[in-house]
Amino acid sequence: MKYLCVLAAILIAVAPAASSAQRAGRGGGGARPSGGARPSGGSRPSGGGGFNLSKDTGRAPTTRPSQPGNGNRPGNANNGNRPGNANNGNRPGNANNGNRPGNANNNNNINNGNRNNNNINNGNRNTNINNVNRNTNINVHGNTIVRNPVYGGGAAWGWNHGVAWRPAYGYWGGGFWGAMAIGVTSAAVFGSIAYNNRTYTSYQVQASSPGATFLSNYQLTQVQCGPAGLVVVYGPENSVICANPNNLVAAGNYQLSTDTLTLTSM
Amino acid sequence: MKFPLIGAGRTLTAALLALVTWFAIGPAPAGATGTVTVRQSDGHVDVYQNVQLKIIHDALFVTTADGEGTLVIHRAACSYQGDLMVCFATSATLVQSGKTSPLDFKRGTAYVNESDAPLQLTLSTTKVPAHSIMLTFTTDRGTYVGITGRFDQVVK
Repeated sequence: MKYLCVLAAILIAVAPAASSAQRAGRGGGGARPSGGARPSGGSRPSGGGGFNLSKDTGRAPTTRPSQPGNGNRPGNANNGNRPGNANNGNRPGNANNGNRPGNANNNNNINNGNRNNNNINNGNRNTNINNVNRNTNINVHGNTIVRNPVYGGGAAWGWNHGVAWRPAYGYWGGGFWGAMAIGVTSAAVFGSIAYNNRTYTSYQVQASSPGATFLSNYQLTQVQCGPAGLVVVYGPENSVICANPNNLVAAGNYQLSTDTLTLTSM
Repeated sequence: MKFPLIGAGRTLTAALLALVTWFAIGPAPAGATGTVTVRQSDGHVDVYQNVQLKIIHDALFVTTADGEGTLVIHRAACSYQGDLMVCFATSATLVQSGKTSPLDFKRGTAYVNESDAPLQLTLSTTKVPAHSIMLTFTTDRGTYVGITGRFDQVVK
């Protein structure tokens, strides 16, 4: 027992020194009775060990607004919808079904006097089959998917070394387009898209960002949003960017899938 | 009157308690090489050396050499720039003195090099050493925190 006590005392005494973990400004191996070394550069107001960050712990964490699903717009419960759409793809009244601002696709569904139009799929190119009461529009697979030319055949997150990308709140587009903090105006504004009485401002995509990878994959060049005939890409967290159409992507509105970097027409 | 057996028992109990605490908390490993720089808005600077850096899933745990304070920094939006992983720090919490205190976090960026070779930052001459991290964040009150060093542990 005596030897055990001695052993324990030695271990306790040796512990701080064995860590070799001393802050700057202190001699190596010098254990303090209180168990905490001072950082270099100043004394700590609390007198204890650890970090001197007392000034930065004075408030409760900010409660962030609840975030809808990826790519949703305000008021939407379902992925890919625009404001005011409670149900994915179905539009009661069907006054101007499926079209987005600047959308080059035509919707020929006049629907004079119709009611309860049932659109099966959300999207463009709604083909008006009947123009009678209880008109039913069967979408002709309007959601065209443009596979990523580089990672199209791969698994999810193949563009990111297999690591899942998740949006960082507080950044425009969740940080997908670069480190542009919401509210910081230093980022270059790249036009805007108006939809449903709301304006979505677009910013310049930063180099080396996932968004830049996306643009590169499709050989797209970002341009100012606003004019018609552009490729309009809705990205994470209510973000939107625009690009000139090319041989890979035709003009229109698209939803970007961040896992595979594929485009789905809207 | 002395009671040697009782005295020895107390000593043994205290020693065992100390041993259990010592093993439960655990000192920073001998190889911990991280450095944390905290610059307050008034210009005051504290530098903490030999801090322990652990990446466990989506959080970075930074523990002072004396084991008394740990910063837990969460990250998100991680993407690769070449072999260099770039993440945005989304929150920071200080676990210290028996309390868990969220910092008034503003924003931050982490550069993580999990490869065996140094990697250079884009548009910069700065290199991140192998198996190391470089992270900076600021708080709403203007405090700057810079963290650099080699990982002591990575749990994916």
